[in-house]
Amino acid sequence: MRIFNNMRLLQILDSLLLTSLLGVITLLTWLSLTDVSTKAEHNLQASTVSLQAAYDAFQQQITLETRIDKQRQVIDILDEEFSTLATTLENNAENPSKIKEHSYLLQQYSQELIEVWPKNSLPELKSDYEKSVGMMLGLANDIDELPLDRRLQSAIAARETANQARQLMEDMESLDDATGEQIGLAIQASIHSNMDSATLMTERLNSIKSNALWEMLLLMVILIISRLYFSTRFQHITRTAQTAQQVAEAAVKTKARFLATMSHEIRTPMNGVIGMTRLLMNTPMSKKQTDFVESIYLSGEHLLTVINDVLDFSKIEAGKLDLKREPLEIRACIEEVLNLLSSKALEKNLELAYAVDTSIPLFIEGDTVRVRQILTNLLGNAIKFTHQGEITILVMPSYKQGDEYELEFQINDTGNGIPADRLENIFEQFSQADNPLSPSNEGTGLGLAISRRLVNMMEGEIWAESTLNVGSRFHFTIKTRKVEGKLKPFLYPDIPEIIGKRILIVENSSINQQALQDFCLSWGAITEAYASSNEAIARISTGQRYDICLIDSNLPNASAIDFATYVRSHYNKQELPLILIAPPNDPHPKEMVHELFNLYLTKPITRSRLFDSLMTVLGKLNLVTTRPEQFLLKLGERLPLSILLVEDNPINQIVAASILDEIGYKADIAENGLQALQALHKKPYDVIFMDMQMPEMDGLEATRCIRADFPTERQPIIIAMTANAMESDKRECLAAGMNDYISKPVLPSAVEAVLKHWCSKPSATIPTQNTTQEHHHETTCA
Amino acid sequence: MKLLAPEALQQLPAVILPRLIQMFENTTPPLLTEIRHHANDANWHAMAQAAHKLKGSCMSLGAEAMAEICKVLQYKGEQADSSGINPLVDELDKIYPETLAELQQNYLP
Repeated sequence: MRIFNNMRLLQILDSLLLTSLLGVITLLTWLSLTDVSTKAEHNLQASTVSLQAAYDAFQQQITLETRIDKQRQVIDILDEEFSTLATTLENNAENPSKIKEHSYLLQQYSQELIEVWPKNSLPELKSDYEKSVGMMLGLANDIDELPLDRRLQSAIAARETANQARQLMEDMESLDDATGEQIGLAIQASIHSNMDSATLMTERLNSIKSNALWEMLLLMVILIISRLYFSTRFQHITRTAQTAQQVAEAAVKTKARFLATMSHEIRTPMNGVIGMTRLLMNTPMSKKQTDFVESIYLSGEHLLTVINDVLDFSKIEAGKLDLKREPLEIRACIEEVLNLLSSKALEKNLELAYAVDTSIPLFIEGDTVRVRQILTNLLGNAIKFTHQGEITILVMPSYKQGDEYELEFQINDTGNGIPADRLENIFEQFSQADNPLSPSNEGTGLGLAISRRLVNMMEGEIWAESTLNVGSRFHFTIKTRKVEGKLKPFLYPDIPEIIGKRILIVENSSINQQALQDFCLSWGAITEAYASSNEAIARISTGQRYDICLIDSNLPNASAIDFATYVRSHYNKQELPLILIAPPNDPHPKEMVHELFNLYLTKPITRSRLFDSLMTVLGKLNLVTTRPEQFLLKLGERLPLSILLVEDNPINQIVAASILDEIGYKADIAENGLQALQALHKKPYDVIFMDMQMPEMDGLEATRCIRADFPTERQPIIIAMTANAMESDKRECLAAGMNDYISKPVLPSAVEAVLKHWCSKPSATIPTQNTTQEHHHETTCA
Repeated sequence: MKLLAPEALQQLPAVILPRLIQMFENTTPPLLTEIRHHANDANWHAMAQAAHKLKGSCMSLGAEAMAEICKVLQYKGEQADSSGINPLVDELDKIYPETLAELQQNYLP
């Protein structure tokens, strides 16, 4: 009965059966009742006609009997008068007149009687009666002319006629009695007929009642059977569906476990392939071979990204991914993402900016790695699909109660936008596969799917809105709460060196302006912000004094230089330090910038860099204004660290070592990777600055060996120093197990920033390896 | 192209500059010879390594023009691409004394 596995068909059949059964029962009952009522009406009509006829006949009989009685009286009188006349034999004048008078009455009564004579009954009796009356009338008429002797004879004839008439009337009466009897019989028959009809009707109704009872019983039985049958089928279908669901769920889990295991197994040899390819690239090869190896390398890198995505996705699917609950410094997290992606944005000349609502606490509870992963996915996508304009990240509280927060993140871009029909399933896995907008097939299409899963795990939601050719806005929310964390120096509010300083901000991007003001205010500065250089110049021309000016390099009409020229015409570098906020590829001539400005602040703006810039210009001021020595405490004195510098070039050794010396660190020096390993075996180091290309053993290989050979507590922070600023080189450093990288030429600000970033935890314990690199540490040292 | 980019040097501690320039003067001629030697032998890998080493020194001292040529030489060496090597090495030889002179002139006391 495969047909009954269809739930909808079952319901339709069930309803049809019920409806048709009820219909048949109603039709049968209706037909039976119609028949009974027609018959009852017919019987009633017949009975009424019959009773009416009986009543008419009865009335006629009464009239007839009354008239017969009157006739009989007149005949009796006439008979008597004739007898008197015959017996007196005298000429009595009264007698004939009486006879005449009564004969007249006789004639009148006889006419009345004839009128009501029963029709069609004994016509000879009627004619006999008419003859007798005629004879009596004839005798009465002739009575005057008759001689006396004939009167007796006439009287006798009259008596005979009278007797005859009486006899006729008796006959008539008996006949009438018979009619009465007939009427009675007719009435009785009518009553019987009515009774029969009523009995019949009762019988029919009884039969209908019993029929209806049986039909209802039948219906109930059919219903019960059909219910039982259908519920069995329903149960069967439900059970089948449940089994299928369990099988499917088990299959999904098995698949995810399989993928997780396989991805892990694949990643280890892949790292080998990529590493060896990299080494191969450093050997002499023909142009063709180089192209092939480059292809292998790029494909390998791509494959590794794909595998990492798949691993994450399958971990989530298999329920193996647990979110950490650690203090998460949301602003630093965003800044890290911006730093990671700024080179990509720079290639397309895109502005990156972020602002976090000031009501959001410094530390919230969350998983830094996973929040960073979501932001990297969304920001990476935004950069990929945006060709000009800016990309901004906004964070605001969408809900707050006590220490509980729901934060909403917005990632806005000015890209092509996403068609509405694609927005619906953009967060489905593999949705990129048929995406015509995708400029290339880089990535797995899992990024957004992974982000959605992660956001859901953080009890949030993710969604997107977009206007074609205007831009897209991705939102996501997470539930979190305020926690206490260990503050980095620039995270402390109200920095003594900054409190009360008047800072002028000239920035036309509203979001950057907001971010600059938020940061400066949090450190205790007094800020004034303007969107154009003209407004700022107008303000300065009033004689208003400032301690520091922050100027965006992208002001309209290249007016940053105009502004700086104006300021320098009134104040020198010590009187009013100017900081130029510029992208790394700032188009302004460097000499002019150095002449006018005290410092570059590289975009994207981050708190740590802004803090360092302000401190630098204020520090220089301190030298001049002989402020207390407090701020002149070198980083090495505030944050003592043991540092190993691995660098083969003697000039670079001196440069790096002297920079470290300047900020208070005495670094040990190793010439190559092997020496570095030996040094590390002798004593532990907190930080290693590692050159990439060195004889004997290069920086990448040395890092892999360190990560593989030393226990966790002996693991140093490893910072690459690379002349190659390519994204792939940076990724390679991180993949080898390095924590960070700085570009050559090595600059003091970069060294200081990276040390502060990685080592400024008060306990001076070395953080375990950066969790972002946790995937990359499987290679073992040969 | 300008020979020197002053930013890098400006940010270095002034006390080490004389020593750095001295080292630059001592280490560069042997490296230049090495580069030319490997280029003549078509030993591209070795040439790339020498160019890389010189590039590091040049970048640290802000010798932008020399660093740029070294970068191209290193790239070509790594790619085993022999085209245009000699003119580049000639140019490197030519601008080295000019660069050194400018360094000494500007940054030596």
